Amino acid sequence: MTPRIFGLETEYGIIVARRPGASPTSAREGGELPTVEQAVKLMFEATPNAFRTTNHFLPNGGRLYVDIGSHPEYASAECVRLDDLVANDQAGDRFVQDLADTANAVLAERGVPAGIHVLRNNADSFGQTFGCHENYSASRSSDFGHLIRTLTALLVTRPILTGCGDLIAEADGSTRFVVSTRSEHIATTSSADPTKERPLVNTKDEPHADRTRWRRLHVISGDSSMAETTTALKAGWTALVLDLAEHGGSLDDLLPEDPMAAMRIVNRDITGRARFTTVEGRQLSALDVQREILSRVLDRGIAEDHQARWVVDLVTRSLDALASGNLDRIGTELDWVVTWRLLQRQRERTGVDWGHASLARLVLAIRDLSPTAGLAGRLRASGQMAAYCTAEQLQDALTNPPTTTRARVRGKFVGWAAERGYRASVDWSHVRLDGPIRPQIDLLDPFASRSGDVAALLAELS
Amino acid sequence: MKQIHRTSSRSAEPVDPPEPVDPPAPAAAAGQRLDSILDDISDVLETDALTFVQSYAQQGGQ
Repeated sequence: MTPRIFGLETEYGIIVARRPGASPTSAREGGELPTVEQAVKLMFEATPNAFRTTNHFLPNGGRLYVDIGSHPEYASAECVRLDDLVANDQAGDRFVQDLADTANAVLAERGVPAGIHVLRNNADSFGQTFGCHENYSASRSSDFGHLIRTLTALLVTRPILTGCGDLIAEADGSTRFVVSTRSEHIATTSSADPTKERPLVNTKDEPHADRTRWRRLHVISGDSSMAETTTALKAGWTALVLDLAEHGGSLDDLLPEDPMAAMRIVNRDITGRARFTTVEGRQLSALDVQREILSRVLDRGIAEDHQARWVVDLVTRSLDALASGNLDRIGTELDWVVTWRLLQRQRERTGVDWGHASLARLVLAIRDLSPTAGLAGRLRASGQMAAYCTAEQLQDALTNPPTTTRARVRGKFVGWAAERGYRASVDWSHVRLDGPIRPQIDLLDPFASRSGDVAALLAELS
Repeated sequence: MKQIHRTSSRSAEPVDPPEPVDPPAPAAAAGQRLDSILDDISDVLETDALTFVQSYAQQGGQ
């Protein structure tokens, strides 16, 4: 796999719900339930000094802040290894849930019979959507249009591997299971407006690096992933396809005639066999397209690194499992399959149809980060949701940045300044000490894990 | 319990419906392994599920 900077930005959903057993009367006595905006404000207020801001770079290289629509958002550190990416991304869940735990304790002290739930999903119950954005560095010399076309051919059908699984209402009032939440909300292939246009790829040119050398490919069509393996697959598979494109490979013949219509078809078919028309007039399914992409990636040849081998193995096994109809073979590794199996099992137990509220509630429980109210912890502990990282890697990522990127320099600076009570200005591509005042140090190479200027500054004032 | 439907903020473009296919069912043994997890939260799923789901209302993000 070509060395490439990966990053993930996860917007979290918030539910403020009455605590079990709390009556409407006690709710009135304790005051109105907080709004989402009030809950998020409380989350970011009721925290230790290091987090007492709504826009904070962290010692582990990530960034925690509040985004449009009062969504807590965690942006991972820049990573070049998939295990670093997964571990750093998982650290975001811990940080945001810790904020919620602290805020819930405050609510309890105040006698407010409400609990704040943090959800790692991509739409509320009324169709408002929010994203999980993926970042991939690319050379400025690459043919950007070619990369966008290649990503389009990949992303329309990628959800059959990387979707989270969800329930949606159809126009006739029925409810059905779909493989991806975000696929229902994407409206165009590329645009510089991620909110109104909702494209597969946001084309705004914001590299957070030396713009003469790099671009940042900003994929915004993917779902948030609960399973670590799905997160690794999402980034790793996309990176392998970008490698193919950057070495002259093309997926142009696999482009759908109508990408958005094809995306809806793929989303409504958990077998991966429903077909759509390509620009060349062929009738292909998601399985067909992903198999063809896999074939071209393998024909080009992948480097002998364990990351690429792991990704190719999971893609291969997933496509084989889908083709055979035996989803148990990938039942713990792909998010949508984990979700589908739980929903299907609950339907078998209770006899309810897809529109029953208990199934919608189950989907939310799967995405709930709380160790008590959510299911992810139980699924992982029982082996029903696969791990990619070791427990030690996950623990380490809470406090330490990846050692192979610029995040190492920035994270070390952030921790050092916080320990000494120095005021600092920090962004992805620079650090600056504001008290005592020192010149800004630019960090324009995201692959540079060391900075002589930052080391000298730390030595001067330590 | 009432039925509830999650909605999409963008209606799907008119498309030909996919060919009808029977979804594969989880194997019995695998399904049984999920039961203990579902048992753990049976109260949550059966009590005020509709209220909880309908309380999930946010502004959209990016």
